[in-house]
Amino acid sequence: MQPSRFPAIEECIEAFRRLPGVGPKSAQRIVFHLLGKDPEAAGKIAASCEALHEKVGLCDTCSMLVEGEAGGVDCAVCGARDPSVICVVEEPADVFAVERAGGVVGRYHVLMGVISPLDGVEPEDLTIANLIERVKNGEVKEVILALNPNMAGEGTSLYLAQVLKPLGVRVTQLAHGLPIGSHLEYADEMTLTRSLEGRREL
Amino acid sequence: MRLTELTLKNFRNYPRLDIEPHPGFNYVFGNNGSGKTNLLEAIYYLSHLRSFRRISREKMVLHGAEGMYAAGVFAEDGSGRETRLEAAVRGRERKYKKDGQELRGLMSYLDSSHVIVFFPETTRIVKEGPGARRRFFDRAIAAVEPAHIEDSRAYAKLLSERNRLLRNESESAMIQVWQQRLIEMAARIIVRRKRYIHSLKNRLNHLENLFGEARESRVSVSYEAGGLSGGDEDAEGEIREGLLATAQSLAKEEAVRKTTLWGPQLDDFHFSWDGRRAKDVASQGEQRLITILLVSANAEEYKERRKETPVVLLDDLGSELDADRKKRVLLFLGSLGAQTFITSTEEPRLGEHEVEGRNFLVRDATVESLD
Repeated sequence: MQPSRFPAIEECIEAFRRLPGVGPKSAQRIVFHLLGKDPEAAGKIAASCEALHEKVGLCDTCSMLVEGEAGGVDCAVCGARDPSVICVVEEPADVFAVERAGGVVGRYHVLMGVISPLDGVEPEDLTIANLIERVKNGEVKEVILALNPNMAGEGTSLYLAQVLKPLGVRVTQLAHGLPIGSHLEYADEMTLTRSLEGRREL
Repeated sequence: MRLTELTLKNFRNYPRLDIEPHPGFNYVFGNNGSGKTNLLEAIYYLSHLRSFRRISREKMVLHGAEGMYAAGVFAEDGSGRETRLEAAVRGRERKYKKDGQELRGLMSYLDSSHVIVFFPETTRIVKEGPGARRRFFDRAIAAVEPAHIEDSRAYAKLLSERNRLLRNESESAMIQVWQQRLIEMAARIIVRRKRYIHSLKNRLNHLENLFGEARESRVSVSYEAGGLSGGDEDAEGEIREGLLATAQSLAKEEAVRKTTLWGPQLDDFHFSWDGRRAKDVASQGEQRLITILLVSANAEEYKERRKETPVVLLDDLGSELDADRKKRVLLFLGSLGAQTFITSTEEPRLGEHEVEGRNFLVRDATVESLD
């Protein structure tokens, strides 16, 4: 192979390719766009990316992303909420999803992953100890488990129920069921089984 | 269901092959090493995406070729509705299509056809260890209840996770939770196995009469879930309780041996001949008879449950069974309405077949239809 005549361009394409959802063609389009049509954008993007890690941190209490003063204070989302309810999610992005849906009355707790023994992830690798502390110290009455409805999420939920219930809190889990607006005939067997189990009286 | 078209490219010894099988009986004959079994293997591969032989997948590609391709059309019995399946392998890449659509998950592909095979090595289920029997029955169960595949996979994952936890000496809350999850999945698997074997028992007795002289039944099959106190519990709840008791009694030993010591992965199926263990008392010929009885019973069970016949492949049945038995087996499959492929080194003799069919001559890597 000949040495490249456009090392800067190629390096930039390579950098964009590492982003989730960006393939080689998209990366190339982005780079040419920045070069030609929108030369100022490059500087803005670079600056805002650089500022991300300076300005954004994790809440000491719930591990949700916080901007500004991160030390010891409850983050912006949870601040004014009912402290007797904690909603447990896997990732910070899940908090945004729950918030878009109207949010919970209580506060959040981000686990930063799920238990997966074969990947070497056990309770001590997550923020579970923090959660237990919060439940022990605070006025928590209910913990809502809002983990993904897959095997790893299910295992993590069962484990959390096992360790939290003896502390005297109510542990609940999001319902499993049919997606709104979908068709019964296209539902997979597992979803239907769980929906039947979780049926409710009208 | 019936295979109505088959196309192969660079599969085993066939650079290129197109055949139109008969909806009933297909007699495939040719010399040893001409590729008769390869043809059956292609049909099996097209349906199950793996071989029934114990050989690596790479060997399915014609020597010197970069990849292979198999395609076929399966037609439903009643409606005649056709499904076209295609499977291509190129190096490490695989592509599976159903009706021209490329598929990501395989469940929908695998569930659209079913092929049952009997070949000389199938008698391993009588002769060899419990692994071969578990695979044989779990596949048969999965064919009539597709949820069995997903449950078995989930079970295998939970089991290796729990074993990892035991090895790591993880906290007891973790081991407890994984035990509870494992028990739940184990009970589902055990219940299906119990029900399936229960249903198969009756079929076996009926088939034994059909295949042999009408005498008292000699063959029997049973399944005992290890660690469960005998009895005929087939309610999931009772099985869960039984497993929990077993798990608790083994907890100390598990902590020492650092692995799970109970569950369906350790269970066995038992074949008996005249009330004694078939492996010890049945002759070679009798072991083959037991095997063909089980294969036939699986075919009948599939038809009963799915309201659809499987495609049946019989490799070298003639050398495995005497002429009279062979004829009875073929008559049974004919009465079941199952499309059948049988290989032989002998030329077809006029009037030999009791069922309508077509003859195929295999030689020089070609398959020639003789009618």
